[in-house]
Amino acid sequence: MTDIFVLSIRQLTGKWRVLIMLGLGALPVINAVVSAAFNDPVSATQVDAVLINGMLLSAVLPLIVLSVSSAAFANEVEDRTLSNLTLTPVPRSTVVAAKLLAAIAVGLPAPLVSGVASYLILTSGNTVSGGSPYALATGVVAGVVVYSAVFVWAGLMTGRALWAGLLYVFLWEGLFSSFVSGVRYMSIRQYAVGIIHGIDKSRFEDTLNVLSLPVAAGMALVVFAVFVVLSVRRLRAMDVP
Amino acid sequence: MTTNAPVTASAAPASPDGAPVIDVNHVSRWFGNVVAVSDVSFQVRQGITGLLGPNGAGKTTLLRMMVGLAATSDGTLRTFGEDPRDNPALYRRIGVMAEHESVYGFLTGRQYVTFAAKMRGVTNASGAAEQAIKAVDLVSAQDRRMDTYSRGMRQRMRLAATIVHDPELLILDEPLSGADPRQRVEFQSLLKDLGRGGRTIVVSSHILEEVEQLADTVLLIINGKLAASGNYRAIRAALDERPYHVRVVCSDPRALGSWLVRLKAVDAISFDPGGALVVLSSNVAALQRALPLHAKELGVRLTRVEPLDDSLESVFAYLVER
Repeated sequence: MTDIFVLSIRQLTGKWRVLIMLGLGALPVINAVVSAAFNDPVSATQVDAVLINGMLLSAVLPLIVLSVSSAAFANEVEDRTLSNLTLTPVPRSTVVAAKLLAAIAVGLPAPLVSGVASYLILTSGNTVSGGSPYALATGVVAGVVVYSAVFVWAGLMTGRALWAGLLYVFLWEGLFSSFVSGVRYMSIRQYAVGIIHGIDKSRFEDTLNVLSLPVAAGMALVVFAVFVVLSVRRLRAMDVP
Repeated sequence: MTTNAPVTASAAPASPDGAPVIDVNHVSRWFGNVVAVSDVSFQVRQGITGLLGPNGAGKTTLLRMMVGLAATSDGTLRTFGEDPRDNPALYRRIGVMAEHESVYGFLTGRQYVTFAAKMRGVTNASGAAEQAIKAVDLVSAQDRRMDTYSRGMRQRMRLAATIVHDPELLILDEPLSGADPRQRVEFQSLLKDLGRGGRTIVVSSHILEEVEQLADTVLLIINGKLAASGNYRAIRAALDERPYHVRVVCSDPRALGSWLVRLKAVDAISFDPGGALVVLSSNVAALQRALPLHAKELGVRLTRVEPLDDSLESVFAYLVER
């Protein structure tokens, strides 16, 4: 497992992918720095709605995770190296676990550092009272982990996982989950929001229809488990190129 | 007269326990409306078996099914008596070298082979990798990244990764493609050594001569069907009975043609629209020997000599018409 993990880390940390992660991760920080530099008064609601929910959880986090996780298997399928892993006695579940862990390890630092840094920049000013970034960090970790499971599976299912993921992020997570209340039970972004609010009640206290912590955490766990199982089943059943 | 039943020659050598290493029983595989493999049955036993067929014949699909990379649509397939599909433990006993290049270019050759050894649970992975790399004669390049290798070098390093766990069964899909003539000879020699070590080796190729050099037993696959199977020499002898068309481009086709028509090996001659000589011969070997001698005697310069119907498709057409 360690060997596949290390190999996957090397595969997923190509120059262009790292640049995309850094570029996307810099956006919330730049936004926060500009606001702080101009002493732009920012309310707690704005931090929640614009920074955390609007920018970080709706765009930066899922796009970074998409760029990493969808490539975990998709690149191996495309360049026909997957047989190096599947023509071995290593169980398919171990292959999936190693790939998923590598995707999380590569995809987590940028949104986590970006989210926490921009949050601290905004809340360290006088305009917004902010608690510890612990809740935000936990929500980001949960979001990265669950998104990773989904996008790793997508990379096994289709060679167009990136495009399918973009549609999913913008339509389902960005649009429908904001306007169709029932969709929040099937939205990873809403799980992250629910977890953040569950840990720190001051966050998203003005937001309607936030999932409770048990529901958000429970659904996140279920979705994660379902997509891990689907990935293992797919890897077992697929005709490896 | 016409039948699709495969031509069979003498049986393949039996493995020590008599059981076939690979047992393919009425296996078919289709992709939508396209039938890649159609109702194929054969057994593979110890030694080197050549899987011969033109490009697109279904060889790769068949090999992929043998090692569990692809599912069968119909029929049963057993490797070491087990279903190879979703059976990772079987890969301790199998080494597979797929047709298409599939290496991690950012790894050095040594890292790649060591990784393969670790993945197969080899206890002393680096020691096994060292041995395997030595066997393919790539020690001098083992610390270079694989994306700097030539295609032939990549093929050899892939073979090292394939044999690093000392498998009982080797499945090699077009292993000689991309190799230069010298590398081919070395590769063939290495495969023969591996075959002599008691392994079972299945090697696919679309080139008759390649398989002739390697395998005693041949499975001839054409259009997804088993056209012939058995001892290579017996099949080849059966194939050599048929007349071949050979096109000869030379400085004086008419002079050479009038000479050649007297030979016993030549059944007929004609001229194609380009003016080249077309010889019909039922003894190509004798024609090959006689042609340069007579050309020299007549002072005719030979530019090109090429078989017009030595393709496997024509071989198959001949076999099913017998």
